[in-house]
Amino acid sequence: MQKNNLWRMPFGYAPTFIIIVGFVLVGFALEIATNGTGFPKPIAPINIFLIGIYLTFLTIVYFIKPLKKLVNWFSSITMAVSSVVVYIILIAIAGFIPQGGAENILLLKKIGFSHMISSWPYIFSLLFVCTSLFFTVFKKLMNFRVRYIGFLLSHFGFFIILFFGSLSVGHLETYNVDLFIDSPTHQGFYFDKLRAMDTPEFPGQQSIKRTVNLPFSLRMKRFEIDNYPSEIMFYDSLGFPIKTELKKEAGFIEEGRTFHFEDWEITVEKYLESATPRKDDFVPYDMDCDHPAFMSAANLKAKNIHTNEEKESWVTCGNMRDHSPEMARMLMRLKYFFPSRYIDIGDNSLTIGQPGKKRFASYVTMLTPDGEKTEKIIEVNKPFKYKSWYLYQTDCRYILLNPDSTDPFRISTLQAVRDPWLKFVYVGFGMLLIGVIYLMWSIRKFPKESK
Amino acid sequence: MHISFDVIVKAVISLWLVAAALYYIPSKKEYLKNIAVIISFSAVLILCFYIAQLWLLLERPPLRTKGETRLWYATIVPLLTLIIHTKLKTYWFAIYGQIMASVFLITNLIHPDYFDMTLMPALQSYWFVPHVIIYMVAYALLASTVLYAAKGLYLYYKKDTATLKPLLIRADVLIYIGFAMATFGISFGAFWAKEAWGGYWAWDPKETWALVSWLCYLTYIHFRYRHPKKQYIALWFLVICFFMLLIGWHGVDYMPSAKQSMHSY
Repeated sequence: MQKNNLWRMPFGYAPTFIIIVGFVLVGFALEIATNGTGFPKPIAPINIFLIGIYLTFLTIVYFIKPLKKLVNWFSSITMAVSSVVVYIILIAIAGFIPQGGAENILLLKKIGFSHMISSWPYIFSLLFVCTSLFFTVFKKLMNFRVRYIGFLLSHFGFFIILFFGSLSVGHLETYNVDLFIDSPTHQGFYFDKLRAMDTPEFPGQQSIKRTVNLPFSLRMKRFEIDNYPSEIMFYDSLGFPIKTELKKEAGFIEEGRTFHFEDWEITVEKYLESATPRKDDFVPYDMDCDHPAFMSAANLKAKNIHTNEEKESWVTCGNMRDHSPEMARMLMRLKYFFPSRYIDIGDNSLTIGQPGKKRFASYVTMLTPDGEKTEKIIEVNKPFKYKSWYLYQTDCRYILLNPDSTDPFRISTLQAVRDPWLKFVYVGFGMLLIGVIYLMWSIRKFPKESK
Repeated sequence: MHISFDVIVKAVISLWLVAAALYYIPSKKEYLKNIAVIISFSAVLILCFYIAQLWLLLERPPLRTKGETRLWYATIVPLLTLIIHTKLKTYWFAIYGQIMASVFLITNLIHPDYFDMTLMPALQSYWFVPHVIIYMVAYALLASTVLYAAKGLYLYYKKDTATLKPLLIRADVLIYIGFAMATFGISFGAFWAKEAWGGYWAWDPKETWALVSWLCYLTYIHFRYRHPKKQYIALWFLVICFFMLLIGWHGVDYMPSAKQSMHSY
């Protein structure tokens, strides 16, 4: 008798949870059965097809009278709470276990924990959330009242973000483009993940570089990089850095500036942002701050305020950074490899640090098939928009084209991203935001306190 | 004129102690309470002054490191609790806000890590300030509801259920505003990510946990809407939500997934 009550419509929390968790468990079983390959990526035409089927199916279900109870159950708050709770648990796993990286922990991969967002249990749980949202919105639309507008905006907005955002993966294109100065290219590349069986001769190979033709060509005229000034660094007698009260920004080297450290007063006599050694001296040498040979130097005067002991010397951060092996070999061949130089002050010593990158920009000309020519400066946070493409500045570095070469080449890496569904998802965000403003506004309807 | 942080902290905490003493002086005189409010508020003003000073010194908004986050939190929480206090006349709320802020300020004194980084290019964006400030306000509002939950549970075990209803409604007001703010925070983060990294959502662990706590409060709102009478469950719901919020805020850095996060600072 008890059982009958539990399974009678409208369902309470217990049966709703049991059903959703049941589906999620089936998802886990599917993961194990497919050896943890996850939900196949919905490639371009298939995702539209899936959306079409799904939305048509739900609409038909809505209008079938005997299924009214099912629709009511799906659009109930019981379903909303239950499906979101299960969804929360699954994404919390994704937030806890490293995603994509745990391939070597086979068990995690097998049950889908290492690729949660593309796993079967996640898809099932997402479907429950989306279906619940769909019926809720549809039901309210069918019985439309003006006062439902706020409700509809937030719920429909969230549905768009979740549903279209998830399925847009099939249309999303992301490629890297390496640009050399004055050498136009229309090729992007990406790394395709390999499974061991694809290349039995190279079992260790994880991915393969594939190139694609982009619908435009890019030519970099110029590359610009700015850096922050070096900062002053103090080390104790064992060579460990000393944390000082100086803020990093307040520790920036600047000609004429004075720093105080314990009994010492340190004055910057001269600062060369980009320098090269000449005998015991340093002279300016114009170079980008990420060039392997780059170094900064400063002439510092240190004075002990108690003993009046004075010292003056050049310090430099040197150019022994984390170079690639080829770069390190090149610098050694050129005999242009300099360690940092310090001034000793009492038991401690001080020097200047490597300057940090402040801004980097590629001056790019884009040529499109219809002969249109656009010039643009691409910077971090300032992408280039062309139709549905976004071009981002992601990286810059020097490489050697030939291991024996002594002339490194500048490379600027752009990322070309095309997400044709972006506008949809942004409309969803807009609706959700207006919806939550309405939610705040609804506070006025709360019951007043009876004091 | 540059005032160092420890002087600021000492001044602010002493002002708050004086204010707390004034609230609890057993006196009928209403003006004492008003003086307490003014004193508490001037402490917040001092913190605002310090933030402005830090901003000028760093030549960038101090919204980058955890220490700076704590500084904002220590400014916004007492301000909000003070406003709520003047609206709802709940003294304990203002004092709890000030205690929490003091804890954060003292943490900053012990771990002065809030100056260590220059602004890397990806953070030089006009989305930076709105994203972080709105998130801080949202977190401050949402986190403060756990105090209501604590008081509510205490009342519940004392069988004082009559006062539970207005208490939960007060908590709901904070949740609604905080939830809306968090929605704006997440969305601004998404817009910024699209401008800077190429995708509005990347399932970065911090993002994932922000979504988890957002969804938890979303569930709470639905639950309260449907079952306004189930007060006991709602109170524990608030406590769980608060833990999710804490994980998203601090706990992510200690998880196995943290090494993939670009929000680590």
